[in-house]
Amino acid sequence: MTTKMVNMEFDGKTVSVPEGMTLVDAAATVGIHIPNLCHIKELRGVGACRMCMVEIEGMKAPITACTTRTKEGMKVQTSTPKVEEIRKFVTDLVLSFHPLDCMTCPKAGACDLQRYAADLKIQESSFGRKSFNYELNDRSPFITIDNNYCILCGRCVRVCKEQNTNVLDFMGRGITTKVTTALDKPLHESGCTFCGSCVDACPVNSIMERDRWQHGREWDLEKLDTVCTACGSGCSVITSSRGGKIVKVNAKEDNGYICVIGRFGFDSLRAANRITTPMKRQDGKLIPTTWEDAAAIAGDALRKAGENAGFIAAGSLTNEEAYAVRALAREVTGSDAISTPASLYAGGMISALRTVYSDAGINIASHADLKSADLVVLIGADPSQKKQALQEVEVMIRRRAQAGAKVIVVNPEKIELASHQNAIHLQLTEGTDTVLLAGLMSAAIAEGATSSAKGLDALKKSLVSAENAASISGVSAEAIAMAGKAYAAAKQPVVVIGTGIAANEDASIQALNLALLKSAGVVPLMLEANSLGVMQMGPGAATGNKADRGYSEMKSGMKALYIAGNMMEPDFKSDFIIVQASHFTPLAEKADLVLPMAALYEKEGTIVNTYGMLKNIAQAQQPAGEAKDGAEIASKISAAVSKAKAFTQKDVAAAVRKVKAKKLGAGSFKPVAAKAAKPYGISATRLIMAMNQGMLSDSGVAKVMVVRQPVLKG
Amino acid sequence: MSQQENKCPVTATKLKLEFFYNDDSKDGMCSKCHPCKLGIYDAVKILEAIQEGKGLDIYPALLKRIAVEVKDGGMCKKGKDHADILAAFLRDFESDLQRHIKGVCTHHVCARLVRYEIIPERCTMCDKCRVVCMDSAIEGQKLVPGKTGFTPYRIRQKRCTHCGECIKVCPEGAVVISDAALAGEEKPVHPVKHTVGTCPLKY
Repeated sequence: MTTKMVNMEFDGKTVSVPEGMTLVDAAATVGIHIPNLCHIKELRGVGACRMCMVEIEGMKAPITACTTRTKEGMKVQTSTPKVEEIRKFVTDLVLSFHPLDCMTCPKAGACDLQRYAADLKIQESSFGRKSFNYELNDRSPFITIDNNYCILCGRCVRVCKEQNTNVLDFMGRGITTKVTTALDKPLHESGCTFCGSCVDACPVNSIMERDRWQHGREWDLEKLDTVCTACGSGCSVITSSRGGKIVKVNAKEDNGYICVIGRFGFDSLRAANRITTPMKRQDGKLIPTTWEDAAAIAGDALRKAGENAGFIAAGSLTNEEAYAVRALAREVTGSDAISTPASLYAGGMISALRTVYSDAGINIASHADLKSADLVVLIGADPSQKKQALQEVEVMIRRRAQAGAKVIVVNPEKIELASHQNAIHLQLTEGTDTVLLAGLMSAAIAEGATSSAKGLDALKKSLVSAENAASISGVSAEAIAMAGKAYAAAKQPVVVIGTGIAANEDASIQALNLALLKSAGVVPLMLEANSLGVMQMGPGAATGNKADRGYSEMKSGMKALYIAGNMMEPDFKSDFIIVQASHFTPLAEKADLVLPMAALYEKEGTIVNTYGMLKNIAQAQQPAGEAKDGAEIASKISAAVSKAKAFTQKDVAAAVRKVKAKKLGAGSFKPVAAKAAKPYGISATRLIMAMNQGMLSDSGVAKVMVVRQPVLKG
Repeated sequence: MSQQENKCPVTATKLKLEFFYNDDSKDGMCSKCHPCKLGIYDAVKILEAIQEGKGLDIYPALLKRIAVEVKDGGMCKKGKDHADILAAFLRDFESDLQRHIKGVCTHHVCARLVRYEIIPERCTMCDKCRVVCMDSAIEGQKLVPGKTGFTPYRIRQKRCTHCGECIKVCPEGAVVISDAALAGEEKPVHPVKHTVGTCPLKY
């Protein structure tokens, strides 16, 4: 859906901006800054601070720009004497109860209040100085709240409510209003997920990272745009480092949200369980060794194993590292046994995508699609902030739902998103997804949904009526009809396929049929940051080679096993196990050779996240100890295996650049038999926890994470 | 807020704004927008300071600014109405405000700006006022007929809280309220200490 553009005037300059945007955001797109203390991009404005007052031609009084939407032919004056007076008045009043501690304040330089005071030439408040002597709330981990500095803009409260964490709220009234939790409890006792969105939202230093004080002023910090690779969302972040060490991590504005792992998990880079030197097993113990020795040992083992050597590349590797592992396996060692954990939890979905879109590529909804979706179908997916799994996806969907989009939840369990007022929950019996989706499709077709894709007639024959589907799946027929009607009426639907059905091919094909019916975007929820990229780079990619061995087949019986990246399961058996990892995990502890790898924020490269977006990772910090980039490790070992076929890190980077994403295929319906099956769902929470276990076990994040133990089903 | 209309315009305006600020009902301040919740609070604080006798010459200008900007920048009608109340006060009672800043409450309402005195000519030394005074601010000895040498009744200004109980009980009308600033002008009780460049009596 393309947004309609309108022509309007800002300060006499004619510009073209999207219709229906707030004036503050619209002015920002053309480089005009309207001062504001309470507006958050893409959230509904409240007009509380009155700093964003502008004058519009034809209106007698000034009006707040954050609550006014763009319209054709609007003429806006952003800086007239009248509105300047109001801005000065508000800044003057706010300064009268804000401590003037700019000389030691860690926020100085990035503080909105400081900036406006300087712009409006206010040195000190002309009103009486007031202070209310609040107690510093530093009882919680990660985040401190100092109400003495609070300017009552309410950004933190709104951002917290918008994503449904609902921890912060106002207490009291008037100037003595206090931002706090229910009953003034510490954050960790109030259900806070420590995503830190309030830290990013705060215009002053009232809400701050706990260890921010005396760790460099804003202008001392070196900022870098990079990507967090802890889970499938692959959020864009900005790291700030000082003296080569990361001090803090913030969400990039277009991302809008990052979770506790991305924001506060960087202390794991200096954790005690970090692997800093190569280690080999001697007399049953792991002892440190040199890189040359380790590479020689690995080379020997791989050469001896030959085509019986197995390779597993985790989805958290970058494209370059995954390509290097593929080159090491196929070209240097001569083994076709290479796979990635995604084939365990999303194997069915990947082959379904190939079947439906005839191997011409994957129709993956981009992040922007989800941002403008008016209906989201969640099938077997449980993105959740409280359970710490794919938190960013839940926040994205919840923001759409708050803005009025419908959410259809197909899940046997009552997930948190299902209780939203705009959600329709189809709580089916486990294993009946194909039947329910068939019923949903026939309900949508009855409401007039149609498609020009091939195979619609064959699909129609295979469908069951909504009533039949209701009786088999245990969902009421009215709910299916309602969901079908909503789906047929949607203009820009997005289908999200989660691990609840992704392991099963039939259910995944049925879900893709549903998406094809409205040519909706598809988000296959991948748990690891670069699962899609790793599969394109080699492991798990379609080669047509039947000798390809899968992930579960390699668990035992290989002569040598090379495991790169953080792995979620520790039960691998082989004669010789080589683990390339950043932190000690149960798997690394039983390995025969451990190779230290650069961790999160320590390497360069590219990834393709679960929305199918290609993102560049920049190196924010040098790898700890002797740890190296995965591609460099693979090239070292390739030289040890065979001098003739050795490759370098540069070769890998050049080869990755040549890999091009395939164009989207036309897609055709593939009828599947609508019948109930055994449950096959896999819990995403458990997998993500297991995946990051090694990295986070020594980090402060582990202390506030809700560790749950749901087991694999089926 | 007292049911009776207050005679002193400064006190009346302060009470109106304060009541609005603290009112938790739907008629009270909604506490949403900055100009209203911060501006009205400041206006109340400034009027309080004036009543305390700590008035400064810049206060009328600040109050005027609050009245204008809250009216322009406020979000809702309730806030703007109270800005109008403040504006009307500044327009109609400017002389009262100026007198208050100088330390005179002509209506004898603002407690800190007045002084309680006993007129010796009217006093019959009946001791009623000394008994009711909660703060032991009145000293003197009851007259016993036929004897002489009694200490006359007077009010110790440092202790007096201007509660008004003595005025109620005095049968002769001997306790009166006078303007503190003017009394000080006529005959300072103690020699006034002047530091360089300042005068505590603001002259």
